[in-house]
Amino acid sequence: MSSATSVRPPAPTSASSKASSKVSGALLPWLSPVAIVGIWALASNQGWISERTLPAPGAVLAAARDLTADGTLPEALGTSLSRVLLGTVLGVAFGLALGLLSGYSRLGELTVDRPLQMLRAIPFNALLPLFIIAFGVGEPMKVLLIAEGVLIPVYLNTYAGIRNVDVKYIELATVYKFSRRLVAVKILLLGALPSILTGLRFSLAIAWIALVTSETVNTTSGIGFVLVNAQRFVRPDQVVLCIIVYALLGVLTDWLVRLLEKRLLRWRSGFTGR
Amino acid sequence: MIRFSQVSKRYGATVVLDGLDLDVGQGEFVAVIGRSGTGKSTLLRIVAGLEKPDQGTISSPDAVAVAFQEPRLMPWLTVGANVALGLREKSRATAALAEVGLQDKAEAWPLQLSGGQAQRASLARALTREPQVLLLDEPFGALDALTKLEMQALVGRLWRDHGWTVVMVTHDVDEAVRLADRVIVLGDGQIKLELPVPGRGPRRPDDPDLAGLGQELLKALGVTLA
Repeated sequence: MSSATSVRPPAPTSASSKASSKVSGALLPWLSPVAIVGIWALASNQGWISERTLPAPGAVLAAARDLTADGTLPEALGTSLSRVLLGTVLGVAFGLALGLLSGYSRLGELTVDRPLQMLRAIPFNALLPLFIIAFGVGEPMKVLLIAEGVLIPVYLNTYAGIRNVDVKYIELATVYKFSRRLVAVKILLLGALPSILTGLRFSLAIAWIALVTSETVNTTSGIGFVLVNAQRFVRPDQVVLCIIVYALLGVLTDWLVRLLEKRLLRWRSGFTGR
Repeated sequence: MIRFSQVSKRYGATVVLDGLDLDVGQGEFVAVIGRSGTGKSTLLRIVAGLEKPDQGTISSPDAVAVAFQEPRLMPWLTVGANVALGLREKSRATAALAEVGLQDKAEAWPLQLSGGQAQRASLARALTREPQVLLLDEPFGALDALTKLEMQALVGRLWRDHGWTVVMVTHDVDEAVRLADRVIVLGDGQIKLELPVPGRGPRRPDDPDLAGLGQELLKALGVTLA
């Protein structure tokens, strides 16, 4: 073994080991989810868990295949994704605007902060009945419920991020007579960006929860509709499938925000863990 | 160029400036020294428009640039973007970076710069504002001794080239006599000593005439040398 490694030329070895460590670095976090599925498969196989409580991974896969073949799953996915996307865009836009307003000006803080802090204290499923009465059971209600959930963390983190920007930079802006727009965008918003992106990650997690909440009432489309139907027709395989789809979508959106962070926060040299 | 008349400033019960009179002429380089808490920085912040005096009047031009002790580069903007921030003609930033010897750092992030380089970038930013008055607030206080000497030479050269009026606050007596036309010692909110420095800066650090001046200043600051 040792003779085999010593024969290899050193340079390509280090290059390839670097590449392989990059791949293994990306795959490593998936080790524990795969292990959980393995244990699940084993438990089902051995009959430790009844098929009625938790169907085997194979059954869930079969359900995925069937629902994809008849078009149910792709259509539901598309519908749900567009709801989340629309709600998130709306929530982020308003959260950023309100956060900038109350972060930048004391008058703004005085006007919008207290109502938003109160809104934050209300669980959004408590808002659901009101939203249904106000906006009906159609798309606007769903999108607005998601937007409301998204708005809160984006607002809070924009506001807190701006208030954390060092006053030294504002002094600099005073000396050099920067315009308000410049201060708002290049100093406050960019300075608050790490905090805003953290808010965005919280927001997206909430977006999916809001989606489930809104899709499980009076809905005729989306993943939530598939889930409710599966429950009604006692199809635990489809129920589990929907849950897994939600989980994967959550991981996917989190990954997208991380990608965004990597791109936008290149300037940072923070601690990355030992 | 800058005129303080009977300027007072207090923070709570602490009197920082107490009826200060000071004139700085066009193109003059004035160094202000004093022990901690004697109002050196307050004086500078008043000229910069960051503080208002409680009493007295001050006249100073509008076009003021400041280099602070911390370079105050925004870490989320590249060095070039920091220098160009708020400018209409971005090309001035490129020229200024070249003038301080940082032409190849425009695309770098501030966190990648050394202390001396960051301070150079801060000077480049000041340069682009084409100021009449340059204020230096202990700009080299955090630098190592060698970098400090280089930076002093750079500031001296820029001052000569651009004909600025400079007010520099410092703890460093040697730095003051090396660069300034006039050194002012602040104490109890007033000028305790004013000392003209012969010749024109930047002077050589090993100039034998400077040693005597330095000792006189240290005496005025109440420092006894063993």
